[in-house]
Amino acid sequence: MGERVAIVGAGQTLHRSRRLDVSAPELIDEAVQAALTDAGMGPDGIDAIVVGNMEHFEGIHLSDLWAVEGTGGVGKPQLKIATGGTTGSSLSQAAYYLVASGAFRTVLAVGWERLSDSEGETTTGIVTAFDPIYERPTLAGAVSGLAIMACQYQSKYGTRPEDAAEVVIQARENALRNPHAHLRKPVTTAEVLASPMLSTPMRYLDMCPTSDGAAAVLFTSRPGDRSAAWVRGVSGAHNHVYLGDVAEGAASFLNTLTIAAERAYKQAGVTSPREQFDVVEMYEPCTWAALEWAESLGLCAKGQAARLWGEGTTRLDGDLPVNPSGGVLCTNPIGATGLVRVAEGSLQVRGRAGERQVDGARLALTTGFGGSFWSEVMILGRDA
Amino acid sequence: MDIPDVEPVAVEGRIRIPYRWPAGKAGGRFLAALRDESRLLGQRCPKCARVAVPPRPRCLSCGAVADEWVPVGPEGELVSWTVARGGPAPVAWGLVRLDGADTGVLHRLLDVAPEALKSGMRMRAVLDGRRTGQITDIAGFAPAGGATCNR
Repeated sequence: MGERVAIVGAGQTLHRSRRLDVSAPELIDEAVQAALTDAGMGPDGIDAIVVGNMEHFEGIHLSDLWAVEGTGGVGKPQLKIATGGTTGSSLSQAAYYLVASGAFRTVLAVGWERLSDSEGETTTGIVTAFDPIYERPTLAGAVSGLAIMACQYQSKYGTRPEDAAEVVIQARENALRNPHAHLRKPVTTAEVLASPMLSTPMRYLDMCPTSDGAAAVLFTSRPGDRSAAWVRGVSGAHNHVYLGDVAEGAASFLNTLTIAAERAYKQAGVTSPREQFDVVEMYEPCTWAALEWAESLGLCAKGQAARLWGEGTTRLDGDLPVNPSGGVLCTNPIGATGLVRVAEGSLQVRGRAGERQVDGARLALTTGFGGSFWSEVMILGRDA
Repeated sequence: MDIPDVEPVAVEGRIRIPYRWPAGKAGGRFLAALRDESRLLGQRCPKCARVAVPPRPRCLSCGAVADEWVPVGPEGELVSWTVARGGPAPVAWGLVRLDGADTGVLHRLLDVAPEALKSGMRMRAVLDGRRTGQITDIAGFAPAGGATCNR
């Protein structure tokens, strides 16, 4: 695996539906400065930068050009990475590889998005990510793609809408403890079930929001005496192009998450994820995805995720807290979203997660989701 | 921590770009058969026998160039579905695995009440009466039993 790599700094903006008080570079700057402060490091300590967003949302396709005034990248190697929903987790993987290779000592990863710049057109941005010949003319946007997955899951296991609602109820409770989170208002089962039906079985409150925000994370091979979260496992798995290929065999829409997780678990020596992980920061774009993908990750048996949430295992004070930050269901600046998972996982194992800290967290699982159901996984530990 | 008050100055704009996307060698064959002969073709891998719809440059399973064409459908099985309710009227979408194919096609579901949709139900392709050589020459999929071409 090359050089051992640690995260020594993590910073986030205040994520909101509209950050009209800042330009894109100012938004990025807010996260970068927070990461540097957290690490007790100046910008001179950064040797290279990876930065990314999902360009359609801001309508600028050389976004790394803009971003440089926030990243501090002038005169430094800086690469843009754009992999859709996984942009943030891809940034973390790229920063890890650049440091692990020995090519750079310290690399800054920055993910950002201003979804309010093209407000109301999020689905347009997502539809243009898909194949124009076969899928774009018949695609119904991000919600319906996830809804087709949820419908399959529900019909297979008989999972009730109330079970899915429990996921967002717990996420919103957690977000109350996270000052960075976008949606900080508790919801009840009745409110979730009464929210508008977007696409069967997905209701408005089952879906993540769209947010403006940025995240920055510092990866280094020389943490010195800084508080460190060590990268213990890294893997990604890409997928076929069309939803109809993804569903072939139809065991699960996100078998890439199982593939990526199994590789990362092996690297980290994880044989029973449910017992060994202290905290999970999962990329769950909707409640139904959290249920199905907890199973893909091996956190419980197939069809048992509703119990995992229903019995409170996933709560902040449960045996295996999932998304103490409130997760994607409460905060979703798309190009930053995957990196927020890594930032939050690193804060947990460094004991710096404030009011959302999981007591004694030593091993964290973080995931990213994007594209045609592809996946990335990063495992972070207090111990190298 | 809170967001400070800032003078809310922003610039508005719009980007309009026309594009043209070629369907390619395999896609051209598939779409021409649909347009000119009302036929649905699958692309069969000579090595592993996997049948793909729509076609692609190489077999997804083994990487061989798949240049055998076999008829698929017009009936198939509904793998999963949803009913989107954002627009003026509910619209049903689903994944249909055509008979003879290994992969599914994402498309609109027609002539069926949302309550009647069920994973595993039999569907048939409904072709559009007006052909343009695009995937929308398939207007959608309706419950099996009716006419294949009625629009």
